[in-house]
Amino acid sequence: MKRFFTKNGILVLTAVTVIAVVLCIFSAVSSGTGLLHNALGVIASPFRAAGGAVTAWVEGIGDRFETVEQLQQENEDLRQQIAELEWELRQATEDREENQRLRALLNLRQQRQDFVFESAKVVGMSSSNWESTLTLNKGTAAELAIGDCVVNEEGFLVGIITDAGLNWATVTTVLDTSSQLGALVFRTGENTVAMGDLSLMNEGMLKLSYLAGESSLMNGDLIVTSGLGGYYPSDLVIGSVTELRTDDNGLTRHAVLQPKVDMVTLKQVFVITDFSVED
Amino acid sequence: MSRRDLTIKWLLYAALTLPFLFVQQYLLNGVEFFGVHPFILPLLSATVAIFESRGESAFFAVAFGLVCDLLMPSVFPCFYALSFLLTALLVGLIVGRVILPGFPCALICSAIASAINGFLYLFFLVYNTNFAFTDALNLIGLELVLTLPAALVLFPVYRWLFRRIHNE
Repeated sequence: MKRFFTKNGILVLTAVTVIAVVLCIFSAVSSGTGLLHNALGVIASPFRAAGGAVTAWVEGIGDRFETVEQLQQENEDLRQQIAELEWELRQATEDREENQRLRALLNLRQQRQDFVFESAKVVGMSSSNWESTLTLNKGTAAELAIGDCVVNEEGFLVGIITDAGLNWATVTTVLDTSSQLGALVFRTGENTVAMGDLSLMNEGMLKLSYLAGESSLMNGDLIVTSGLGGYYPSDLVIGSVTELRTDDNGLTRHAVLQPKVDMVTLKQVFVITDFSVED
Repeated sequence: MSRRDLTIKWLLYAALTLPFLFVQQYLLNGVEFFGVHPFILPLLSATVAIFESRGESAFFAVAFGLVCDLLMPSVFPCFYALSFLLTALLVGLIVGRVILPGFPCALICSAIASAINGFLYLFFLVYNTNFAFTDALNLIGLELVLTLPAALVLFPVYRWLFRRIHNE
């Protein structure tokens, strides 16, 4: 074979060239598809199809890689956008909640113009079953002092500051067993004492003690601070009566109070740093 | 043990203990039964005291107690440090002498830890305020019952760490 091409190579090459030139001229001159041209097309067709398929496959791979890169980039951008939007949404939600609290506080401020408020955030909560205390992010540096009343934005009593440092304060909530406040039944004007009770504390309730024998207390009665002695402001809502119980001695009664504030969900509170004492 | 080994050991104990602090704060505080939630923090100092020497576990108890006092308000400053220290000392006294380390020991020591914490609260609250003694005893009992199962998780976890530390 090798010898054949060595001896007749020039001849073969010349013949192929002549055939190619003739075919070119023939196809250029003829109007339709000639027999030879057609035959060559039929022979070449599968090879062309295969070549086309390979080209398409290679291009497909290239496109795919390109598309994956684009998609990855797009995905990355979208993730970034989602993160930014989520952060903005969280911020907006917090701002909206704070706005609502401040609007409510504005109403309270208009009602009780003698109050001087200092806003503070709740940064800690007691973990124990034995007490109900909160830690605030402000302290004596913000004019907070032991004995100050702490309310929520609606003016409902949360508790009393029992310990304060430069930038922190501990609030003993009305539920805690050590809490004891002069209280008033809003409907009848009856003076009583609201105090924390260990068995009620874990139910989120407190106790209204020293009820008068002729007390006409009813379920749903609103209980507010009496303000007697001028130690705490008057008319801060403590809670409402949910149940009347007879004491263990069988002679006296006490009421169970449901505070108006949910201590668990508190985020922001307002400390009454000053108020006018009513005579 | 060299000073470096000791440091690594207590860092590992701290690394193991801190997640339980978060579990208490963010998970168990919300799991209430009859208004009471499990309180596993005293059990942590008791479990460490089962494995470690009295001096070392007392040191751990005070350090962990101070961390708890810093993070959570309590009835008075350093309440947890005092409570956990008493727990570690008492557990150190009974482990090896009265009972050998194991699951029954972990349950007994955890009960002691929970009871010490409860009675300390009771002591200070009785001293400060006027409240029903029976309510306090009920609370101690309920808290004990709810918290004790945690000992079955804490004991193998700390035993695993103790073995890893002392085998290497």
